[in-house]
Amino acid sequence: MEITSLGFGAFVIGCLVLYYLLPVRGQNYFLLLASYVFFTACAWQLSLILAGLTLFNFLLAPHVRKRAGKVPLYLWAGLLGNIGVVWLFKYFDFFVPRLSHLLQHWTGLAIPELFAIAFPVGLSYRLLENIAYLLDVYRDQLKAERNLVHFALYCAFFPKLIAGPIERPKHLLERIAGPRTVTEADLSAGFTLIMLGLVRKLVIADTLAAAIPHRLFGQPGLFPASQLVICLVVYVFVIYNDFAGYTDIVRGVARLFGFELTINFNSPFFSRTFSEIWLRWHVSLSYWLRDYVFMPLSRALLRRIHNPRNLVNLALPLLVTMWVSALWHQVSLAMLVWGSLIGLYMVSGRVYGLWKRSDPPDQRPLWRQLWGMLLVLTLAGLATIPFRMDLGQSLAFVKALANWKSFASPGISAFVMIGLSLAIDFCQYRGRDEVVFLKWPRFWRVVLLAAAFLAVFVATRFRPAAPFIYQGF
Amino acid sequence: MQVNLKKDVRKRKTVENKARNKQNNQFMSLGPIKFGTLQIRRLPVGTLLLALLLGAGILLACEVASRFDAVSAELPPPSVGCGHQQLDTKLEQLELLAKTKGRVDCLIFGNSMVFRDIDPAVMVSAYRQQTGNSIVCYNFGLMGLSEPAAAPLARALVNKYRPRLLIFGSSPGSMDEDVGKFLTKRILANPWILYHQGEFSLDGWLIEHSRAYRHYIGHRYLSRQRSEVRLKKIAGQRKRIGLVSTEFGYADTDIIRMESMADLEGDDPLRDGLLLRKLKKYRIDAAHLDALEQILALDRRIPVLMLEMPYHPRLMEYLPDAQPIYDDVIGKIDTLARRHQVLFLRSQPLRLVSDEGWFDLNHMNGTGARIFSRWLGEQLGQAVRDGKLKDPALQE
Repeated sequence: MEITSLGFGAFVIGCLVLYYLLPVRGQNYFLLLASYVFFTACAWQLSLILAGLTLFNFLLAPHVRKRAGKVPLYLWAGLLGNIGVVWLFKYFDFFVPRLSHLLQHWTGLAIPELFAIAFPVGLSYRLLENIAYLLDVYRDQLKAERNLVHFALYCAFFPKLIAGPIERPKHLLERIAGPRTVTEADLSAGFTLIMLGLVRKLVIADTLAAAIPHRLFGQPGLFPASQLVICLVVYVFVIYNDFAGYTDIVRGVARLFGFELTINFNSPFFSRTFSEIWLRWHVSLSYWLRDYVFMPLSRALLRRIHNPRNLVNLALPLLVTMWVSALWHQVSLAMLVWGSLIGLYMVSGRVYGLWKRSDPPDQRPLWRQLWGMLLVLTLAGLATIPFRMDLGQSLAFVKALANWKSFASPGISAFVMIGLSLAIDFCQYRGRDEVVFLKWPRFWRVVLLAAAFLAVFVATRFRPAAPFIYQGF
Repeated sequence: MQVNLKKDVRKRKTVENKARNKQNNQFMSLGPIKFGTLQIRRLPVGTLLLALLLGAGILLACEVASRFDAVSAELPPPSVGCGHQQLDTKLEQLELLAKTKGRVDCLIFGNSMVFRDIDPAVMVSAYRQQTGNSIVCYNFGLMGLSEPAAAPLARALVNKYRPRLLIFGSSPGSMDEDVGKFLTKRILANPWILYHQGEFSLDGWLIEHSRAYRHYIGHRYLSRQRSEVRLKKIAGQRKRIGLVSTEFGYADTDIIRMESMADLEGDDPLRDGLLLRKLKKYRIDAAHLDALEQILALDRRIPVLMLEMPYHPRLMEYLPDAQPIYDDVIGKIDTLARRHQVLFLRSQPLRLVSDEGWFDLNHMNGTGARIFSRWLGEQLGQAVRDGKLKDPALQE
């Protein structure tokens, strides 16, 4: 069930009506049931895996608390168990045909169809939340949850499972256990976010994706460099609007149920440094990586090498963090190159900052801010090459960038969509509010909403919505 | 003093705006509602309803505007979304013909051979001489149309225009499994075609009823083309690829270059290679036969006439091995026609058109088309007089 489909819309409306009618005590049970119905509709195997992981972590968590002088065996078992399950399913389609072939070769038996499933959507995001939960309990920052329904709902809350945002256990468990109210402001904000998400995904991202020639990334040699460069920028906007659109929709839906999920994107193209984009792009993952990889590693290194300006202290935590991020996306050499590139950008920024003290980005002259934005966008675009293609294709793409003999570019619609994406970001950035549109005069709100309805209606005609890019990770 | 005055004015405006906003917010709102988690004073639906009304108003205005010829002429050509310009052009022409004449009595279906070989004006004239009755006939021959695409398209058009006779021109060439794959795929999935076969969809309904929507689809189709295809060039482009036809759908021979077979007989008579290459690796496709049967089954609703579209008589001289294949396919078509009690007109053995009447090995030029169309009109009239077909001009 795609979250941009009418089916999902009907499912959410049905759930909302029942949810509002139910007494508060029954709402968590109902949400849990609705979440499992949703996953079963997506792939019934996912429900089983999710239930198994939920029970595993629920039963293990009370035992993982840090005890002085003892090896944290339960913690390691929990971490390895979670990673193992995700790893197994993520690379199922790689292993199963080979195993099946071997099994058939030796015994004549085939692996049953039951196990021949695609990678269950959302499991990678579940992994990060489970690890966060176990580590928080281990560090005594959170008490192990005693209520199975609350914990199961934390694991399965349907709007966020497909591709995040990656919620902090404490934040979401408190919301689940505590009283919730839905006010007019929540309804307005939730609906605005959903509309914004639909526009980002169906109007901007899908139109931009359609503007990129099919063979551009597979056979870059067939295209002039100008087209490759422009399409690379277009692709950066595709990824952004695709994922930001998804996030807006799920955050809007959650808001209608009285849950405020973590913000995931904050006008990333207005970042003036690479460390700033880190806090504006896929924020929930960035914070997870900061708290559970970067900070522990930095502290551990500082305990051994006391000088914070030492190159190892400067570079290694950042690089390792980015490698972890890359491997979380996909285990491949190209992804490692992507992680290394992002890591190097950030290390360079840190080293430059130490060498030459500069003002905070907000206080710099406008031309420097604009220059910074352009530089960040260019570097992000370059890093997208190994993110989108395997290593061989990436090299072919880079080689093809030398062909400046002719000029070609996507149609005007691509530039209009990029402009629209930046305009939405600019309004949010300037108003420091993701639903800044609600503060506009009523006349303009009506015009904007009508335009959004029309744009979504028109854009979805004759073109089925493409699957979300981040759903695949 | 002046500054204070300005401040006062600004303050008053702010207060007025706030009051207006408050009033606005109360407009069209329901409440108060307090129910468990949901605790709202008013359901904020005013903006939503106004936006929906505005959106609907804009769509309506577009629809009204697109129905004015002056506006329509400036817009991209309307399309039903099959990505086939000729199909779109012909649908427009047929619509116009049905509107101006009040009815369409006869639809002629088939591939480019039908498009290029049958001039309805000549055919109707010959028919009138035979029966004394006049009919309105439209040639819906499309380049690249094969039976699997023709069947749903014919059903859709029969449902829409309710003609009194359907002539389907077929040839062994169109029964090849490789023929018309692209168009078939598009037609089978097209919401408008499906809508006319009883499968409702919003897209299908909109294409049928909204002129603005058809223009929009045309725009989408064009915007996907390469940059050199600009709106202003469409007319010229259509002429180049021979899409322009007479008001009755027949290929406009003034635009299509006239040639005789003599031009084809240079060093290599087989230089009209496409057809010959196709025939050399010819394989009759079961799906094509099934589709042909579906077309013949339309005979339960309206009379159907099956027509053999002829090739240049010398084709078999070039391809002596092809004769048994040809006979086999024609035999199968004949069997199907008999099973459905449909009249099947053979034309190949008659050698109706001489060398001068051919454009290439499978298409006639204007001279040939006139001869063939006259013969078809006479045959049709004869069949009506013999009672083998009901007169399309007289049926209720």
